Amino acid sequence: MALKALSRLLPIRTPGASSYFRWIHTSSAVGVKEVKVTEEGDMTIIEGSIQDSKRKPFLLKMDDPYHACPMCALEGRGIKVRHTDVLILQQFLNIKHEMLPREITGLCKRQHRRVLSLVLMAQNAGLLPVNKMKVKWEKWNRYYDEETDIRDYKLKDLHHLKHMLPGES
Amino acid sequence: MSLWYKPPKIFVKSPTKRVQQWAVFSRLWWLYDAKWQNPFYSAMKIQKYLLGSHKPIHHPLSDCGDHVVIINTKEIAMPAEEWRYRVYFHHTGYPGGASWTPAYELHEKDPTMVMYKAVYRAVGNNLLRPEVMPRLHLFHDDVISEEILKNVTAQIRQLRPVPKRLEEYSEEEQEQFPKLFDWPKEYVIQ
Repeated sequence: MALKALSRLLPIRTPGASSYFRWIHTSSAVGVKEVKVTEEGDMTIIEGSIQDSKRKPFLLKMDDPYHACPMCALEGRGIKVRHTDVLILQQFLNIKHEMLPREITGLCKRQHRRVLSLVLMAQNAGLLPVNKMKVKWEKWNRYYDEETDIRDYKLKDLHHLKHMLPGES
Repeated sequence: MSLWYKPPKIFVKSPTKRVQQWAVFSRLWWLYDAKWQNPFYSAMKIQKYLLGSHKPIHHPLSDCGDHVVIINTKEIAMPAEEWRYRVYFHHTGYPGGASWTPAYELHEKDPTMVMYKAVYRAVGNNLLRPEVMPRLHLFHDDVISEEILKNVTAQIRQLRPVPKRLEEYSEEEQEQFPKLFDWPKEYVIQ
């Protein structure tokens, strides 16, 4: 009850937290937030200190003047992501192997749809783990030719990224 | 030899040319790794080596083909939904004796059968087929007997790059790979 009352008072809103009680942890969940409990006589002080995530030292430094989304920024530098690039696609998934929302990943609408289809392709091919049962014919290896499967994606349509293309200036 | 055919003059200039000529007239043994390869496209490539049509001395009545050893046939790959759609037909000859088996079912029973049938069809209906097919050696695994492996001298290039599963990367590699975005400040990872 005390926890529930406390959580109502706190003005924190977490986009990722689905349940009500996950707002306060007795221990650090994955190290992003550390909760310290100190007891001084009758008083107990609970404080959560925000820490740097494990990702911080490995972040790509992309200084874009137009604040393009991460996949658009890669696209602007001429890097084409395929469904076999598992280490990139894995960053957009949660523990249940589902796609994270756009608020967290920071993707634009077009890239979100594209990454989603790439993830589905990688899961069908057996390169990424899936959280569901496999049918008989899904057991064996499968591959995809992306040019046929993703239709509505062309680099020339990205008008807002034209200044980042290698050839033009 | 007909009159219009002018045989090429072969001048043996260098030791490499000389060895090349020996290789043409001898039976070479080729190795092909079928891991993550389409069996039907790779069969079109292997068929040339079996029939000997990659050699300058080739003639449909001369038996000048090579041996081909195919490994990892269990790990062949097909595009999207083809495992379900590709069906193999068989008829016993008796009424009601027809049967259709999809490719994924056949592959469970014998993991070399799909590859064998693909090559059998790619070689084509010709006089060399019964002599050529015994020179194809299929293995569902990468374990080969030494009698065969000691003959192998060359390798056929694969058609498409072999992708890597997420499980095959170590945890360190996954953590230290460059990240595209950082978690938001208040985000609690589920």
